[in-house]
Amino acid sequence: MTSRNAAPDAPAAGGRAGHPWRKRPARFSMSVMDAAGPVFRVESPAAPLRRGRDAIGRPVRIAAPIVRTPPSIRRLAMTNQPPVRPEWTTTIDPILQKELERYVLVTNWEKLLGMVDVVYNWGRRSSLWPLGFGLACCAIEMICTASSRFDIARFGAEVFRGSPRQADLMIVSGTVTKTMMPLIARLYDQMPEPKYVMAMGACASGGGPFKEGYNVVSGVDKHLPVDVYVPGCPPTPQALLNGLIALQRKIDGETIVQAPWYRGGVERDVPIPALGPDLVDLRTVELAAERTAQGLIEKREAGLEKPRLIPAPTADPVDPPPAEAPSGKPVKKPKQAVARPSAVWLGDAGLAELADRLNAELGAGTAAIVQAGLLIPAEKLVDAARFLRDRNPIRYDYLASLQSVHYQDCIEVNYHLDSTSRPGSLILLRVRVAEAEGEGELPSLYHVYRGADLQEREVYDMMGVRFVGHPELKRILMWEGFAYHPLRKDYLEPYYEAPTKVFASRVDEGFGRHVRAEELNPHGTNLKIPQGFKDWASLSGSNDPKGEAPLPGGVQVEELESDQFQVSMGPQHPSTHGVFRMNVRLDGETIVGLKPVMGYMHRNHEKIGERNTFLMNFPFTDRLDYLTSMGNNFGYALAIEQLMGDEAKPPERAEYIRVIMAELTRVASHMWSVGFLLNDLGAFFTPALYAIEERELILDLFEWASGSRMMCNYFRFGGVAADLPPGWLDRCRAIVEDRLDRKIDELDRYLSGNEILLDRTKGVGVLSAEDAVGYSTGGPVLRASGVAYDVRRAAPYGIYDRFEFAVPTGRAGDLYDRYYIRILEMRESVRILKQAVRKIPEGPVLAGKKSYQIKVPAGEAYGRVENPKGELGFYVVADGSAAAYRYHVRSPSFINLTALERMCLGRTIADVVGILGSLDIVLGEVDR
Amino acid sequence: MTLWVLIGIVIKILMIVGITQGTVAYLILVERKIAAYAQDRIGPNRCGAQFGLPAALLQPLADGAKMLLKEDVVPKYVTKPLYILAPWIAIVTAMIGFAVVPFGPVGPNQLIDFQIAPNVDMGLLYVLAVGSLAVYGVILAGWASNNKYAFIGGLRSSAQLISYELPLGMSILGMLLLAGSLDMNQVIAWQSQNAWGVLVQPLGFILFFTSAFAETNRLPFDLPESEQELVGGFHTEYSAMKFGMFFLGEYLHIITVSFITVILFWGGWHLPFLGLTPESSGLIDTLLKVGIITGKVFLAILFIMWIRWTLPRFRYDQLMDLAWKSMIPLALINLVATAGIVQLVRTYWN
Amino acid sequence: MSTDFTPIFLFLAIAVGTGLSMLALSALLGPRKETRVKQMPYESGMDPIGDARQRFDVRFYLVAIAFLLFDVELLYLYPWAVAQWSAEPALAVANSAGVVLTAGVPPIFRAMVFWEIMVFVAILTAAFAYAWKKGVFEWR
Repeated sequence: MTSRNAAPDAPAAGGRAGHPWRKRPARFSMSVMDAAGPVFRVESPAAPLRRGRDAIGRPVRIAAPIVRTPPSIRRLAMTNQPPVRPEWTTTIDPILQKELERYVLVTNWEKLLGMVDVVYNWGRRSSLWPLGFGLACCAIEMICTASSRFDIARFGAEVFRGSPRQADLMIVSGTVTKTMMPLIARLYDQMPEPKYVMAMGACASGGGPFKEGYNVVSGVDKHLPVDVYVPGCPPTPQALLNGLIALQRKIDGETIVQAPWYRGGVERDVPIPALGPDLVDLRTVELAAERTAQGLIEKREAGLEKPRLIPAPTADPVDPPPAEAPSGKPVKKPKQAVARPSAVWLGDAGLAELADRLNAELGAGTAAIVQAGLLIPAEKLVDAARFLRDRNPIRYDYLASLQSVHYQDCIEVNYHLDSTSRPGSLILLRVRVAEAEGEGELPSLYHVYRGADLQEREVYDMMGVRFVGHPELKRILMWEGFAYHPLRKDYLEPYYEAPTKVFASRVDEGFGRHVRAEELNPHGTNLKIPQGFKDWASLSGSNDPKGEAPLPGGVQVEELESDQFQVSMGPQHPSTHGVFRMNVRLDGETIVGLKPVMGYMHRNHEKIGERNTFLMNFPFTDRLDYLTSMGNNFGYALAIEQLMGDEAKPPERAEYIRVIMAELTRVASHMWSVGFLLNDLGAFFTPALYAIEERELILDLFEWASGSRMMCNYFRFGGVAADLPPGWLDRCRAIVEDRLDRKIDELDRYLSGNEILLDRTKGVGVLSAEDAVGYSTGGPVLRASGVAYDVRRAAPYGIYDRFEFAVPTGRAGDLYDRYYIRILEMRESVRILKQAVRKIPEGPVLAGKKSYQIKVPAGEAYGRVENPKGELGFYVVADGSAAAYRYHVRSPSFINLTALERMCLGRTIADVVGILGSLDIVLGEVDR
Repeated sequence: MTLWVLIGIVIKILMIVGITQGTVAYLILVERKIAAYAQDRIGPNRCGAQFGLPAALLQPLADGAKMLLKEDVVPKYVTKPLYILAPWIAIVTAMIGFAVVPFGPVGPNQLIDFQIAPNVDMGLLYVLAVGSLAVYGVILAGWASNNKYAFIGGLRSSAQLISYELPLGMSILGMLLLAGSLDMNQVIAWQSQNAWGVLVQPLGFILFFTSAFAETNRLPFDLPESEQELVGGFHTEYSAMKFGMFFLGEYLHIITVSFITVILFWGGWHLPFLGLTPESSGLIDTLLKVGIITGKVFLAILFIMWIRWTLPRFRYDQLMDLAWKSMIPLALINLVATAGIVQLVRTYWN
Repeated sequence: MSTDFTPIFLFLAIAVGTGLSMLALSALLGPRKETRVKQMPYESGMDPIGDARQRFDVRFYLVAIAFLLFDVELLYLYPWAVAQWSAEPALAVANSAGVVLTAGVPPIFRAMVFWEIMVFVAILTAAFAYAWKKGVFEWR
């Protein structure tokens, strides 16, 4: 039995009758005699002296170190004999004496230890330096915790250390993916003792909303010992602070004699899991091998209902073969949506003309119109693309998006092309390849549109389609050696239950129990390895199948030969804005080679989106670019509304609310990006924290309207979730009319003219207009290079055509322009906001009535919005069921990264950090 | 020299070591507070509140206790002797610079000599020499760590430190020429009789102060550790007290540099209209002098800290350009101009 | 002129002791859990690629050489700067140590020494300009 601060201050003990403290022993603390003998001591909440606070003023019940009491002392405590006191005690005030004995005088070994513990614990609790790394959305809130409103510095914990060697606390802030797990384990192992781990947010604690993802570790505690869990998705900064306080309390309860880091023989390191065909925990590798060999996974999957495959769209839309659900019931023929690639596009007549022209130029059979897209045979693809780019009257020079769909008899890769000279003439090219795994082969468009680079790699990774002619066709989000191509319809995740939600196991069992995802998998964890896998012995935590291939030797910059360094910047690195990694080859300080490595935040957004019902997917879009959740909502709503047609036309007020929210989001996001760009340039957090102050005010508005600061989940198909609360518009007006302009001016005034900033940014990381278009960059990056392409203008959505605003463009396309364009865009956003808050009408905010089950007609749609980071597109294929058949996100952060290498070569390592900052990537969106 | 004198010196040294180390510990707290105010935050305020102390007055103690009790990782792949030597060099070189710094009045007619070694007439040279030894700590740390970030950080740092050594050394030549001594007390005395260095040598002051930023690795010249690029720079691999020693060394350097600035250019203990002369002694004058010089030093330190939380960082090539292409030529011009003008004035006007 | 270095050496000894005691205390008090991964070099959580110690850019050597040249020449300037006007009677009063200064450049040689130093600085500048032109100070 342990007792707190056991014997020496036994209340019933000693003293003379008549002394004041003698009369109220029960209030001081309470002894309960047990028949067996030991004393349970309970601190009375009404302790009269110092109100139950110990030497350093904390409540004793929490703070007192837990000391195992030796039997001798226990016996002493049991006996109710007043110990004989020396004579001098009579001369001082007994209360004081008591106090002295309790807090100051060392009366025995226990007490000494207790005091040592107090000091020892106090040092560590007051100086918890976190390891500076953030994984996902939670990391944003973690950074906000350091901002002026919350200020983690009050606890002495603002010293975020980049190197694990100097850190005490690892805050696992966000979704832990399988790709990232070995790195987290390694970082943990590299931290010196004593060290603590805090699992921040639902994902780190148990997988959270992404738990069923094939690349998600369902809780970091599957691998690391966690000290404190902070619930929330994401936890607010207050919650993180609360977690910190909880950790401090935990430290208060520790004692030096039992500290595991001082004891020999206690294993404190965690084995690094291995990236094999899946993430394999080496502690359980034998069990995993055994179960895999038995084929338990395959056996389980055989009995499950599989996702239905639909046939590829055909030219004649009235002839879909009646598909049969496995249940045997014929599926009711779904309603068909109007066929068009996006809301604003070239149009049927233009497309027919274009098809004719292609057939005339490149031979008959080059293009056939299928569901408002051009079906092109694979062997003609490159020629057709070149023709469209170079010789067509409308120059299709911009590859807006590239994605793939797994149909019954083929995999369709389709390309959305737009023209920067005549924006808004979007077309869709379809190319089809063999469906069987590993057989699909397509010519790569890498040499026509450089923007296809990363996107083709993604299709290869997710679908297994090989692109001939791509110079570096490797997996991009998963790692080389991962056993499957996960977006194929025939790939079932380890936690797979049914084709669409809501899963039976979550409903039928009612209150009594529900099935944990772990119970569904024979391995008891998120693990799936093909039965044929035999190579277990080769698995090792020190292998890095992700981005291990060394960079090709760079150019020698000087005649004098010097060795070139190869450094890995990231995934845990102060400058990479999350878990992004750059493999860098350096000659001195100069970059001679650079490869982005991503996928560390790949949390299976698209696969999960194909299980979710349409409505259910809204909160997931929040978590794409977690700085701009309202903008993401907007894009997704547009895509589905395009399918739903007129029945989901938002009412006027909703349209205004949407614009207000989207533009507020833009201001908040640009504030963040400008602040952190400055941080990347070395201005230590000061500009960033001032920028965050404004962002906080905007987040307050979001929270007021939607109930959540970051993950707003506010839009609905045909409107928004709820009307603005009373008073909201006044507050918004106050911020928009009176404050934002002033604050933007302030940033501009203090930053834009700074000499060091100019030196660091002018002429750095130049991206020519031609390259910017060729690399499919979007948003501020594209416009900074002088291309006035803004989806709000190019393909107006919502009611953007009613507002007056300019599309600012840069000239040089350098770092400075990319910085300054954001300041200008914030100004334009404020301009739009001012118009919107003045003109917003009263009225309903949702078309139709609220419904959980939304009927979405079958068809394809591509909803695109101008998000702060660039063009955000949602490509959705609906088959008439409750969930999307295919759901793809064209993420601007991801595609902008294509141009990173181009901008960085020949620059210095310090420039790379700035250039990456100016791209303003958000990893949740890069890796999805 | 009698034993008593020696004991007196040792007591003085111990006091100064104690005071400077304590000051450094609290400077770190001050820095964190300044950062907080610069960023519209509160900054540390909990640690010590249990004892009724405001403003996290015990924060440095807690940090120190934690660092002492933290595991001291010595990675396997480091060059162990050098790895251990580096932080030690950093702190020793930073400490011994104080030997010749006058903290107050010094002289035969003063109550006490506020200087550990009052009879060294080449104090400035000594400070410069010792200060430039600090680069070894950084280079050795970078090299011994066998870590790429540390290595690049160490390289950058060595290049930076030695480059700024030159303008630092050249910029004080004008002052030396005017004062005619390397003894800091005499430099102060000269300023108290004529004019503050910052008035007669404005260019020299700017060059010196700028180089001082670079020599102490402070923003905008903190490239060796530049966190955004190199994680922790040369001390990436250091943990526990060894890391703390680099930290202490850096702040000790700031104090030294501030003292030199104040002594060379801000008139030391001199303030106009107070009637303080090199000879003035007595309790009040002595206290005034000590107060003034420490006050000025504190101002200089605050300025250095304020800059850190205000400016972005230079890039490596810009930093080197600044040293070699602007500051060294300017320092040369300053030297020639000063020498010429002094020659003219002292030859023909006197 | 008396120069007493005893306090400096005492201070050096104490500083050395302080440094050593910090190292020793930390080594004594801190826990030790040496594991394989902890002893690997840190590289953003990756296993390091290749060795950290390699031949590096030659420009770093150039900086060192240029520094050496200028610093050595700078050393000649210090004695001159101090000595040029030290024989000034007015300055002798200022000597707080109470010793009358007699060292320094005698007044009749001052002009000559001044011009010598100017020539010296001119040569220095020429060397500097040469190095500049040769591209020693190109850092990229």
